Amino acid sequence: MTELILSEITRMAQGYCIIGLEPQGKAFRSVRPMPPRNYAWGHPWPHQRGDRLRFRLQSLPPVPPHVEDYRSAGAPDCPGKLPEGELLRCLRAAETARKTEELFGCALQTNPQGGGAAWVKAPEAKRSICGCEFRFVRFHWKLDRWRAELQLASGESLKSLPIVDRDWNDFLDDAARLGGSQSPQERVRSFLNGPVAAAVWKDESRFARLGLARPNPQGVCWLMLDSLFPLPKREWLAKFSEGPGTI
Amino acid sequence: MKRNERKKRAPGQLGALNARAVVEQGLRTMLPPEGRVPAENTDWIASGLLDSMAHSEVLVAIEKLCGVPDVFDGLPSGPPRSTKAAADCLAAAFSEREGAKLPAADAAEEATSSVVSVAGWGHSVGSEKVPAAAVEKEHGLPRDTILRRAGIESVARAAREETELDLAVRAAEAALARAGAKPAQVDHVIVTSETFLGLPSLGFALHRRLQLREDCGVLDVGGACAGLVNALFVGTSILRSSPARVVLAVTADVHGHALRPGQVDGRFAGLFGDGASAFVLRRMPPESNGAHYIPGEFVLGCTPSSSPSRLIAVAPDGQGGVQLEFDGDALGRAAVRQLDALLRQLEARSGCLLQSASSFATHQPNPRLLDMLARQSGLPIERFPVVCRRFGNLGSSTAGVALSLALEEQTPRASEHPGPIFVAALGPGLVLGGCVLCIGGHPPPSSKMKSDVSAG
Repeated sequence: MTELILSEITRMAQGYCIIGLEPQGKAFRSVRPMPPRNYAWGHPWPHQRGDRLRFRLQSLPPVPPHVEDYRSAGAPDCPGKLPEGELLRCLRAAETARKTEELFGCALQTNPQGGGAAWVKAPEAKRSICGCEFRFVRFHWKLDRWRAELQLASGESLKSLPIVDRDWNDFLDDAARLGGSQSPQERVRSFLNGPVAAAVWKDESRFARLGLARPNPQGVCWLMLDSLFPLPKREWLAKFSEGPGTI
Repeated sequence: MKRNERKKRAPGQLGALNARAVVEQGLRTMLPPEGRVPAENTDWIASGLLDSMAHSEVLVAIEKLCGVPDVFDGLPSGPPRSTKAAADCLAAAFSEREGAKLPAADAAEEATSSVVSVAGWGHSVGSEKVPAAAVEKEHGLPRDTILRRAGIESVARAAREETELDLAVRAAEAALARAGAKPAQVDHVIVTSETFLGLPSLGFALHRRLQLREDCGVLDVGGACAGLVNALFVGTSILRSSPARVVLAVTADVHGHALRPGQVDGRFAGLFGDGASAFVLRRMPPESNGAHYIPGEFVLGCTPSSSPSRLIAVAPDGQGGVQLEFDGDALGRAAVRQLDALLRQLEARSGCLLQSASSFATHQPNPRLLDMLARQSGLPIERFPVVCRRFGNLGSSTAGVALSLALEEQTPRASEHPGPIFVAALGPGLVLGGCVLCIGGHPPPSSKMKSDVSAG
């Protein structure tokens, strides 16, 4: 059995992709346990970030950049849980980068005429998950989903990261429900970029994990925002209902 | 050609612009160089040409190419997934917006026949409140120097990682929300700060953070404590002389990071706090201005070089610090004298009596000098929004925060008969500027001066 600390739960079309941290001495490495079939675990996924999960894992031939992939023989056991602060300590001891080119071991590409979403070429990337410190986050709704702009500690910006983090997506769904029937996104956007962004900014634990989607037929892997710490707090939504203000 | 005489465009045609050509150009930005453009009814995603992320990038590219942000957002049938669907969508949007996209001649005519109003406002201050006693202690000043001599009870100080940009964004978001405007509607952003030293400019950084349009102009203006008036003057002038409809004017100052204890005389450094303010200026038809404050004539100037310009000099000392020379008492007297003269000049130019003003959004070097100004000008101190006593001297943002507070208090909903607001500020030099804001652009009858007085 391999024990992992559950660090990522990302919402995908087919279900949830998860990543856990496996201790390696004083450091950690990321492991992506996949269900016996397919990439994603079905709905509902009963576990939370920080849960200690025991898997029966089987290694797979490494296919860059998704070198963290393992096949699980079944559903995991959960013998315990780590608090968010302890999970963050472990994440900072796993794969991290300061500059964008260090994230996946290759240069990021963007369409200068597009919306700023970034990708890498699958054969060039060395891994598919990496953590980074960031200075600030901004949220925007474009076309069909919430996206985030992150400015990294290096000063570089990632302008349009689709948010796939399950906890943030649940939070955004709840906020949209409170946003009213007319243009809820606009109200939610003000809330996110006002009090929520300020609360994130003030939180010294802020940390992000960026992941790569599976390569498309052209061999392009898009960057995604897998985790954004601090995780959203339920009480922020109460403030949203009350109107403008600070959290 | 008059707007109502304009011909309807045929579907698929955007005047000279062909919708399909625009769509294909956008599509090519995400196709491999050798990639062929698909047939017009081909579903980009189902055919495997684009994945969902590339699809979004293509649509954004098309929006940028045709200059209409968000044209594909919120469609009942979802974002278009074929060349034909996207081209039809563009054609429909252009047809709907026919009246909004004016040729230059119409726009110029509209510019001269419309008025500029303050449609939104907001401010933010540093998140840490530092009591005067703590300021005195950290600067090694005798007890009560800041509290008693200057009258400052506390200063608002930015947290260690809080910057001019963070404060500016908060103020700007509030102003845009108040105006009911989206960042994508802003045509120009005018920014002033007496403390920001970064490159690219604060205006650039704000443009990025607010995700303003790529064709939104960015202009950083100076003036130090008088910077607010300069920004409002430039913004108003742009709206009065160009097709632009929305200008965002922003001040942001973080003194705490530069004026550190031990590096600058505490009697000077201890007076300052950190803050930002923002104002949305919007062009609107004259008939719809009854509910908004309208900037009237501006007064800008600079005192003769023989007088107070030598009262303060701040320059880098070459060792990472700041060299400061100032004569506080003389500077204070000069500031009060000049602000009083400026208010009287504004009174004469605008035809609005000072006594009828609902608020005076002036620079406030410190509360003691503000009291002196109120006494010298014979004005009730209650009409000066409290800024420096609670937050310290905020540089260009002092008058900005005062104006934001004044507008909040005097918004027609909050006040039955809102009077004019006098804005007056001065900066080192002394450079000075002011303007009068009136509801509907002209003072209420009770505030009008007699003609013989206005002639003075």
